[in-house]
Amino acid sequence: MDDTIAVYVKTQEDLAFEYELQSNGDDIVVWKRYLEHRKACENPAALAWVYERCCYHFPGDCSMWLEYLQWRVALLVEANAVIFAGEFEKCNKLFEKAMYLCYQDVGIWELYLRHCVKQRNLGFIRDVLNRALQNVPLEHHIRLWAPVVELIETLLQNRPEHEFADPDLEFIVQQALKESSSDLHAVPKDLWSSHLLARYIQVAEEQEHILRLIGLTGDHHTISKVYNEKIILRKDFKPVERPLFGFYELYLNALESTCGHQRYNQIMAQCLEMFPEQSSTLVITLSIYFIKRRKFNEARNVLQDSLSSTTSMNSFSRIYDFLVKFLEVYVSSCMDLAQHEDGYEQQHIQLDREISFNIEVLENLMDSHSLLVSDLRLRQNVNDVKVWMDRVQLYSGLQEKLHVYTDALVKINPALVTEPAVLGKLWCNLGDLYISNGQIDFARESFERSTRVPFRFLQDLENVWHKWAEMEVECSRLPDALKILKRALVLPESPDLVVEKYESVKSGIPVQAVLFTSLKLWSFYIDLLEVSSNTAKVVEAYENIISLKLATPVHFINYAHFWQERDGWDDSFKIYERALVIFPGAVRLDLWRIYLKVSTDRLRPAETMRDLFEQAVLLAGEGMDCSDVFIQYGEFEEKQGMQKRCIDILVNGSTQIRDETSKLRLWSLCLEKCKSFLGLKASRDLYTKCIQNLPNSKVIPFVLDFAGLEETLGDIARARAVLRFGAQLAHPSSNTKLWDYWNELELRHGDKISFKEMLRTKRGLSDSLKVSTEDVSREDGNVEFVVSKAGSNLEPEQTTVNPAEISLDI
Amino acid sequence: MELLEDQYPSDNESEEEVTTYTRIDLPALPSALLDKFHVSPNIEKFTQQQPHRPQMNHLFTRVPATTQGVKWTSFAFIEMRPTLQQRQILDKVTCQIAGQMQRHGLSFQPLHMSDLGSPLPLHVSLSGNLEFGSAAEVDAFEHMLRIEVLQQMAGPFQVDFEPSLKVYENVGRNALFLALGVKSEQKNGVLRQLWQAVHESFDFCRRNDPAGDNSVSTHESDISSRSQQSSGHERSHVSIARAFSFQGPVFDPNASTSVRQIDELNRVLEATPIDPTLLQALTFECTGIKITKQRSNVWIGFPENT
Repeated sequence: MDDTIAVYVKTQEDLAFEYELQSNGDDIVVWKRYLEHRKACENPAALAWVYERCCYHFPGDCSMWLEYLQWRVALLVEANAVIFAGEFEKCNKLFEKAMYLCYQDVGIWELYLRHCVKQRNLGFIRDVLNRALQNVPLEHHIRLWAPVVELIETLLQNRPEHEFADPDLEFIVQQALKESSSDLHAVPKDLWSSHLLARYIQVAEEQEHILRLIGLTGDHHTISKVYNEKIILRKDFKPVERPLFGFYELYLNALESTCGHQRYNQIMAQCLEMFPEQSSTLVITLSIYFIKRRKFNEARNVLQDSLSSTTSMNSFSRIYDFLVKFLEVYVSSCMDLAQHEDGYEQQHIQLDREISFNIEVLENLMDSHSLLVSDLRLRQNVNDVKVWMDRVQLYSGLQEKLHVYTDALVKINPALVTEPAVLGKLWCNLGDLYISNGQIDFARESFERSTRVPFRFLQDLENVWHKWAEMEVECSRLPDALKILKRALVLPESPDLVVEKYESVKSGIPVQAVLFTSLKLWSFYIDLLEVSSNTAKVVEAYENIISLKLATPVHFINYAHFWQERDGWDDSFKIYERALVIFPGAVRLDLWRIYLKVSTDRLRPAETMRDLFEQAVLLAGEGMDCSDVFIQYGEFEEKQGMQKRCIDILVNGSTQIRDETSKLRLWSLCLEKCKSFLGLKASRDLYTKCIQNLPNSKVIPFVLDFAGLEETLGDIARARAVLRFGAQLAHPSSNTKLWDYWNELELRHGDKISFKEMLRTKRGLSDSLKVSTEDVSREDGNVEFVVSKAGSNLEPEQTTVNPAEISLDI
Repeated sequence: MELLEDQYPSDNESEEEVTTYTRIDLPALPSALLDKFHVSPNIEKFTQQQPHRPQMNHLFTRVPATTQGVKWTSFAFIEMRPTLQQRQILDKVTCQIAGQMQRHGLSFQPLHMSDLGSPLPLHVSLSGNLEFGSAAEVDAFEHMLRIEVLQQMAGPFQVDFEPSLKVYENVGRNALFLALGVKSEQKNGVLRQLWQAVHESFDFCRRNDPAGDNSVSTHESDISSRSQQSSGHERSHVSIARAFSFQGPVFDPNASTSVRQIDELNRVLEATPIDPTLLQALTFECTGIKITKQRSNVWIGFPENT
């Protein structure tokens, strides 16, 4: 001790502190002041000497030990634990001394553990940790675990997570065939970490993180044990940062090497139930599990079963691709094995069998891809008729096609078909199949049954009835076709009421109840009846569709035509008249045209014809362009010798028709007829009326005609007046024809004065009739330029006149 | 007759044509499909019309009883789907007998073809109309019947017919049925067992129903024969043709007179037995029974012979 004093106490100050300690050695403040002094001297050995004396002087004061140890550890903070192992060892011993006195102090234990961690001596860390946990109360254990867990995190942070998605199948198959258990991708086990983590998780609050760390250790026994306890059995484990499926994947992977097949299967089944969206991953995992155990058939069966049960296209594609790859790899590996290995003949035979069988499976798989996809789409929605239709196309044989049709019709629920006419089409196709094969009886049986199907859409039902009747017609059995259609179109007692009910509660009433509203069937029925020449039935059918309000204009026309063919002209005319009451204007006009033509051809009495024409031309009042009817009417009167009446009719038409082209046509015709029948003079009034009636833009040709007429009659003054009137309708620049004509007229008949007068008029009009582009723009349909409102916030330009301004006329 | 001519080759058709026709080998529609759409949707309650569709001669196309004041019904039967050859024989037999019957003012129409020319199945009844209080009872009946059939039936059996036809009258007495009686051994053997199975199953399902005993009922509109409804296995037969009258009783309105007239007809029929070779061709193998359930048929197969 005296030697030590001599070493460390060198200055007067040191000596002073030593003397003070002699007198007040129990005063911690003195010790602290002395320590401060020593720290300032920067002599670590001397400081350590004082610290140690102080700590032993106050054995129960753990804080002093902690301070000392913290200072001591800080000295090694930059040091390499291997190179300076001796220094670390000294420090360890110091900790041991401290722990002898302060064995319950958490802070010191924690510091000690961190110091151990730095040395990376795993056995020593575990030993210290164990002692610390034994000595420290339970509530402080978490603090003790912290440095160890941090170390484990560092150790595990670079370890790969188990990769399920893309296994090296070729390697796995080859290893399995060679009966070798080495795993290329096996992660080395970190038993130290897993052992500690398994203990830590019993007290840890953050379970998810620790479970993940355990998963990374690769220690399958620990993983399966801990995961079973914390995840599988508890069932309430809900991870936040990672999906639950990831933990189950790790668990399954761990189970592969730690438990029996039954347990693995049990958990796999549980996973498939819990994670249906991951079914493809799980199925592939399961197949790999079997492959690793040389159970190749089971692996293939699992994949094939899954292919035929999955309902997701994504899963299907993954499993299909994997199965194809597996078969390819398996076959090629078997071939390699057969070539390179000398074995018993029995083994070779077995391998050959295996190869040929799997090649067959592979070929079948490739060939049946479309069919498997079709299966999948049907699993997704068995009521999708279009998928069934596509499925039929996959088969070439009639028997197979028939099987698909019947399978479809048995499986489809008609109430759940969403598209109209497709289910009926399927039934029709089934019938067609039998028809094309000459089995008409079976086709009939099929059609008869299809009429009982509770279709959702009327089109479906009408199609099957129609097809059935069509088939009978094609078999030259018109009466049977008629019988079928008659059955289909039986009328209820109150058709309107039934239709009303059907439309109001559409889903409740079967379409069979409203089949009588099928226009398609009625049209076909009537066509067949007309062929069968049964007048009474044709009439009844036509009357039925008319009373059901199903008849179209074509039906009326056909009905009338039907009577005409049988010389029933009066009945035929009545049909037209009935149609004319029913349909709207545009259709009526067409009906009138036909009706009038038929009536004219039939040479009906003049008064009747007049009456009909008068009714027909009333359509002009509804805005219909019935100019042709006016012309026809005019021609009729002309033929009757009523030329004046013909002109009047045309004049009426010209004034009533709104369409400009038709109007012009009628006026031209009217004036022409007038000139021809009544003479030129008589047409003056008409020209006047025409010019007044037509819009300015169209009137000039008539003005010129009128002027020409007056010139012909020698009344040049009237001709000039007409031209003057026409000239005022447009600016001379856009009325050149008129001015040219006037010019020539004056040259032919005028004199200097009249010519000057014409020129004066022209000049006057040129001045007075301004071509206002703005006005033209504002006319309907033209494009108008408008002042941009953009930048309207700008100050308007000052235009006020400066009163002080003077103008200088230089 | 045109329909008949089309169905199978007539005498003046060449051998070649016959060969071409029989060469076709597409199978008939599967029973599952026919059973699924056994009955058309009921539109009568919407159209407010009496059933005026003569295809009701498809005699057990029974309208579900919801339209008739009864909630749920069923009916058990053995189905016979005649082959083309059997249809030809049935036509021949019907035509032959119909000719004789015309002397009695009766015009029989075959039942194996609908009036629209479609083949129809025939049947041997195993019950009358069975009425139930709920859908669950019908399900229970089906379930029970499956068990009964499994327990009582040894396997498929051949259905053979008596050499002479018989005439039966329906309940409404507006139709007469020409029927092939099932052979006595079968009537008193397997058919008796089946009748028993059906009725035991029915009794089991209706054991809690106070009106259970009266539930095997008939409707006036039901056009299957009265004997089928009332007596049971002793009268097991397949109706092959029907003479129908919408106006009223086919015979004398007096019931006793009617019975006498039918007996007389039966005596005539007994005197003209069917050719045994034809009869042999009409036999068929029964591999199970069917019951009607809502608008479909339900198939109850016999256990396979071991």
